[in-house]
Amino acid sequence: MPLDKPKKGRAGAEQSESAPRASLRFCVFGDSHIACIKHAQDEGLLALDGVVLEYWGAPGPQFRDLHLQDARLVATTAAAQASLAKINPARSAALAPQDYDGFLFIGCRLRSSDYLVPLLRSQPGSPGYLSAAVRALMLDRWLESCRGYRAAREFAKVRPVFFSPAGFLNEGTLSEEELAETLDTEATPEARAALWDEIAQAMAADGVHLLRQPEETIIQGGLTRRAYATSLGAEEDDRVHKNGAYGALILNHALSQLPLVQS
Amino acid sequence: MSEQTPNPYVGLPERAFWKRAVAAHNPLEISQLWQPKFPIGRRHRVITAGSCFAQHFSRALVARGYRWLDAEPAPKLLSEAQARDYNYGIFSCRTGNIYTARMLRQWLSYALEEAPLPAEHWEKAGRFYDPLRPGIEPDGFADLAELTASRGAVLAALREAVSQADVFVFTMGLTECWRHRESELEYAMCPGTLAGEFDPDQHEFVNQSFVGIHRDMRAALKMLRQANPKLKVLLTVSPVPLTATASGQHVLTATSHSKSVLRAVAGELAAELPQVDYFPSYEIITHPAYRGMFYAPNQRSVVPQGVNHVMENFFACQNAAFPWLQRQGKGARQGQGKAVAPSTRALQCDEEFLDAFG
Repeated sequence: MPLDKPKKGRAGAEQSESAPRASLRFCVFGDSHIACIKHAQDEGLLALDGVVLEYWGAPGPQFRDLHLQDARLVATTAAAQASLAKINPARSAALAPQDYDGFLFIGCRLRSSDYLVPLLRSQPGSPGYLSAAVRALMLDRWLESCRGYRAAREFAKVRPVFFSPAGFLNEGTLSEEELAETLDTEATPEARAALWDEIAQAMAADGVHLLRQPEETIIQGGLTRRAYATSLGAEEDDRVHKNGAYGALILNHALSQLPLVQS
Repeated sequence: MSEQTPNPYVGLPERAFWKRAVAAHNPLEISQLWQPKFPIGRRHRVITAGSCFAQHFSRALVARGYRWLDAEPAPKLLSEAQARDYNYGIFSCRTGNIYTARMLRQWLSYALEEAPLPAEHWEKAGRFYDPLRPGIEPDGFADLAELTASRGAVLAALREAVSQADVFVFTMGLTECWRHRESELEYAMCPGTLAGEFDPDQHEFVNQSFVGIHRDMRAALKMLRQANPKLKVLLTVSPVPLTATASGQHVLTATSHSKSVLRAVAGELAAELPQVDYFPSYEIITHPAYRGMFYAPNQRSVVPQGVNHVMENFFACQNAAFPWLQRQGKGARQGQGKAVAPSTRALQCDEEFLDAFG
């Protein structure tokens, strides 16, 4: 897995745009988090042999204007349509599951921090301890209240869908006070694995395949290493977005798993 | 001949005379019911516990931008209804209702004095219930380990809350209770109601006396004082009548007895101890001067207007006694965290998107 961020380039994009023997059509759907995959493609970090990679989605507020209608995702405002026209002019009207052989839903306002961080902090006998019944309610509501996840569930009835929740907040963007109040900085990989297992199980019941945040990208129990944070803007300004190295880990893993899922 | 001494009633304020303080007023205009001993401002950290009426107090404080300390906040992912079902955000700690003085004493002894925890637990349909707070999770706990872990969490939260608070508001609710005959453990509810099994050989009914309640409250107040010497305590008495009585009396007279005893103890403690005060929410709801207007048709539930009137009196009396409170803390409602503003977040999303696809 590549850890260093290579120089920016268009190698990956050219690969997907010009690949004559492409047999697999794969779509990355999401909010602004799809940018990390595009960065990875632009930086030549993606293994796209035989794959046509396309994107569909909208950033920030416009993402709320993407709605599931008649089993297709459609943009209901001009602003969202304009975003779509930029990234996928051929399919700016709608996205149907039949349009591609598989999907990666990334971000989509399903935030790892919202679910995993409080649970990692839940220690028997300490304030913040959560019973299994409360944890189950949280997981259910985390997934059910996310429109992007509900769309993934619908798409998964037709095509393989991978879901990568927005990664943990970026290292160096939280104050010491916030860290102390919210994070168990000693949370272990085993503790995270147990929670990812629960999420994977819940998603699997909906036919959706969870993509966990790779362990090598995690630091301080529940933060994303600086090496995988976006380099856009001042380092401590952006708490959430990731870079191409992160996007590569996610998409390459999805593509490697796709044949298994298809079979 | 010595000069004639005016009698002690001469010169007393209007509030000392029924005719002028009560009879002459619309009940909603009766004022100066309370002369608070200490200020409670927006900067003070307030914790609440006790009978169910205490939850109205915390809600009113939060609504007015006061610093109500929630030592066991609900996980953000729970809906408001789910949080309430699991007893988050009702009292400062997830103790559930603490109806009696003995229950308060028990909780504080476990939290602050490391008194041995009761080994007793109740089981029903494969689920585990804590006799100290059997209704805290609607379906009980998965197993004994979870019950113990959760109880440990509430005790830790209680320790933290007491040590950090400036004011502890405790609402006294009941005199009637059920205890284990040998261990004298007092239950939050009668065994066999929500869970557990009632056994007359083990479980006994106790209607606590003035002396017993006073002793338990003094012990509880001592523990609080030792844990936090600066802590002030504000006592109230729940105006909500008993749901049922096991005393053999009519539930109406049993209610009258219980509330009178609690009211007397609260008044006595406030007279004895400088750090303890009594706020008359009980009188505002129950007194004949208010003609029962704050009760729902079942003559038991207190309607929101009643709660509101109680809290208006609370704040009016505080402001009258400590006028500087009104000037203080005008910025207290403003956010204290460093969370990224939504507009900033949206901007970052746009930038990220444009950088990739623009």
